[in-house]
Amino acid sequence: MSYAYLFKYIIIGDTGVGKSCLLLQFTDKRFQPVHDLTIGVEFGARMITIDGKQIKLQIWDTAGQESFRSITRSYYRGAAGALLVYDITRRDTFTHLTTWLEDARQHSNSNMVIMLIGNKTDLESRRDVKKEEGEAFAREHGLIFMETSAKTAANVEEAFINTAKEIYEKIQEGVFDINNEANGIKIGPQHSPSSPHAPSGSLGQQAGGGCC
Amino acid sequence: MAEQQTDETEDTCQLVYEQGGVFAHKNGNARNEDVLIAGKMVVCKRDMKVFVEWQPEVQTDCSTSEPNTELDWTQVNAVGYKSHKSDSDGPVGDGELRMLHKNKKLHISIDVRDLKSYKLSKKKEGWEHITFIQRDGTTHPPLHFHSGGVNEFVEVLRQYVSILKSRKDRRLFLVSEHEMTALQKSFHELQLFGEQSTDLVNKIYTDPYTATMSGLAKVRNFLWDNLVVPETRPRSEVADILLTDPDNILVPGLMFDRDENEPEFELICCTELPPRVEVSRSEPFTAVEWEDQLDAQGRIDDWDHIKNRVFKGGISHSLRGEVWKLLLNYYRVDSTSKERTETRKQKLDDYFRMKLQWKSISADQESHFSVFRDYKSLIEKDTDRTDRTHPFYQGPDNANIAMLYDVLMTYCMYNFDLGYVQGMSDLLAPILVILENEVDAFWCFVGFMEKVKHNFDLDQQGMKTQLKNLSTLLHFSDNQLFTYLESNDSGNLYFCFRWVLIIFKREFIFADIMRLWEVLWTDLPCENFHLLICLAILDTQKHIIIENQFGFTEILKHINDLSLSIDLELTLKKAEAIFLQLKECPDTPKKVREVIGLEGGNNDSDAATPEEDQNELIHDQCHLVTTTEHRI
Repeated sequence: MSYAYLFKYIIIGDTGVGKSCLLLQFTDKRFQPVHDLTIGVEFGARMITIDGKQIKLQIWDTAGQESFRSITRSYYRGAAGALLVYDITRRDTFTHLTTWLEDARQHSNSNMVIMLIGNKTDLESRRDVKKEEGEAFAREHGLIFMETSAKTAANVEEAFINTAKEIYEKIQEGVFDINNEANGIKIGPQHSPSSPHAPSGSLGQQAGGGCC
Repeated sequence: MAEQQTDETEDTCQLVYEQGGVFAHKNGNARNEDVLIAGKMVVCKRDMKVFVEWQPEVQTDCSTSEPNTELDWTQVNAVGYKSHKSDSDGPVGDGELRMLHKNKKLHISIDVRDLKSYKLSKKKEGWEHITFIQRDGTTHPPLHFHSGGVNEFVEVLRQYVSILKSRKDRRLFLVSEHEMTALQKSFHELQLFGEQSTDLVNKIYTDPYTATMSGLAKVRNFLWDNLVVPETRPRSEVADILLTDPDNILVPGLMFDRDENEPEFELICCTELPPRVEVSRSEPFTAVEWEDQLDAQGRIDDWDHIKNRVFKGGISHSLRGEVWKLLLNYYRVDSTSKERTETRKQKLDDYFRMKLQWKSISADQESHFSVFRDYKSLIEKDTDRTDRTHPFYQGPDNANIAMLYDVLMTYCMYNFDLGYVQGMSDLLAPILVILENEVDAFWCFVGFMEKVKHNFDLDQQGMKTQLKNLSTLLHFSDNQLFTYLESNDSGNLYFCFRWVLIIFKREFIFADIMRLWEVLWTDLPCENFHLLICLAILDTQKHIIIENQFGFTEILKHINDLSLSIDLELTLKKAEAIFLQLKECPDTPKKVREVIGLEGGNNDSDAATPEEDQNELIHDQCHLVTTTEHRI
């Protein structure tokens, strides 16, 4: 399938906050609690439509444990959007947001759109971080904010799509230079002269043919 | 040879120079076959740009090779130009085969602005030939002018680029940009800023000082790079040039001496490795063989023989538990049955003593013990999501998950400094499947961790060292791939991170990972054999990566996607064959030999004089050393 733009996302946050589950819910529309823990990085992709334009989201799902920060840092490069996830039932995952944010800001493009996500709203009875706290943190640091449940799928679509909308608006405003791939945005294969580094499907199929 | 003219004359192509009888020369595959492809050398102007091209004379499916003519440069194929006999070129994976068929053609087209250097052949040496090297590290196959005319070609080229002769190699010519061509270009075209001008303008707007200063710094870097070219050329280019030229190989000792104090700038000379031999594998080590090995007291007769058998064939499934305990230092290899019974009793006591330590921590204590609490919560989460699709760990309330948890918690008590790091549960899971016993699994896990614990350093130093070692091996054994990866932001080999961290656990199916691990645990045939496994897999994927022109993302994703589709036996054979190549090659650098433990043979090799080092290299005295941290 062809697309007008490709946006690279990265999902970050402490281990066990539900990063991989959010990704799976968004790409496959299912919840799989026994998904193997993430080592290194995993990929997901889905096509969405904004303003009548087909946009492919290429999503990098990272490992959360502190030991792996140094490798995760190398994945920020060229990301147009980041989902910074914490678990509303574990306060420590919320308190660690500051260091995650520092990392993200330091190693990414300055225009990268960051969406703060408080996940696991299905576990309301065990809530440890108030929604207002998440909102306040987001306001203070200029992030967009949503609470989600990867289990019930509540707000999952919205989280990914709103991030894309924000990026799309930035493109319209000319903040993002779409010709510079370091911004995490690529123009779809039929919309530009082909480039030697255009995203190509595995085994050399035509670009955009469902790679990741 | 002029019949293909139409391909190039569409648009505004202006032919400046053409010379027939120029042959692309592919020097030797594994069996040292030479492949020559007839073609013509062309210089043409298109869209205000100047291209140096080599076009094959017989373009069987040329129509499909031309859609990229608008590109700054097109390299349809750098490596897959095999003769049609290539079907017999040894086993290749399905994917690779497909790729070779897809990209059989070769066509070189270089925008002169992308040309970094070229190398001419020696005057007296048969046909004159020229080798082009692009700025991104691409090195094209030598082009042989069978009817002469290299000098005429160079004269034409000189009209468009200014050329400096290398000070170190009189046949190497570097394209310089600092004269007219450079001045003619805008900042934008020079790509000094690695970002588009609009972005730069934004930066100047928001932070004028930093933007301006960093901009100026880049101008300085540009001038530096271009004015002082011969001294500062990256080592990869140097190495590649040396590759094609047997008379230019330096005396190994000379290079190594220079390297020793500055490992960051090591020059690893790439020479032709000996041909890769066909390695055979055998059937698994059986229970019958095992019985034969035990004397009346249950002492093992010939442990080295067993290790060799395991290395070559693995272990029969039913015998794994027994032999794994020896491979993982649970039992001493010279112990009798009686001693082993006692060892086991001791280990049982030790295990439960440590288990009791964490079991007896009260909730109150735990509330004041955050490090412990964090490990505990992490282990809880991770054991719940480790190999849950394997029958042994399937289903809710699986008792084996509880066992996995207990072993990892006890390991935390055993090595609290290291504690629990993600990936450990992956390493334990297959061991527990085989041992089916908490205590035995724990002590085998301890043995495994002894071999790989540095992978889990908090600062990841162990992993960085390993990837650097892998890079050293790759640089020497496959400079083309190494250069490709470097020029595609993947020179740090982070895409191999998962392979190395959990010793390929996610890359192979369960049955295969058990086989692979037991092979690695023998420490044969050399240290860091797991890095040669990496080389073997990369070797199989090389054409796919390069011919698809994969960039950073595509490489990472492609490697990730190999998971569970890698042929283990083929990989083991290839890895061993690569080992033999490195071992047999007289020019294998010291650094490389050190990584795989072939260096020295005496413990104080550091004290060896340069002459001794050199002799050792030249005479290829290989010794297996069995003492380094990262052996598996």
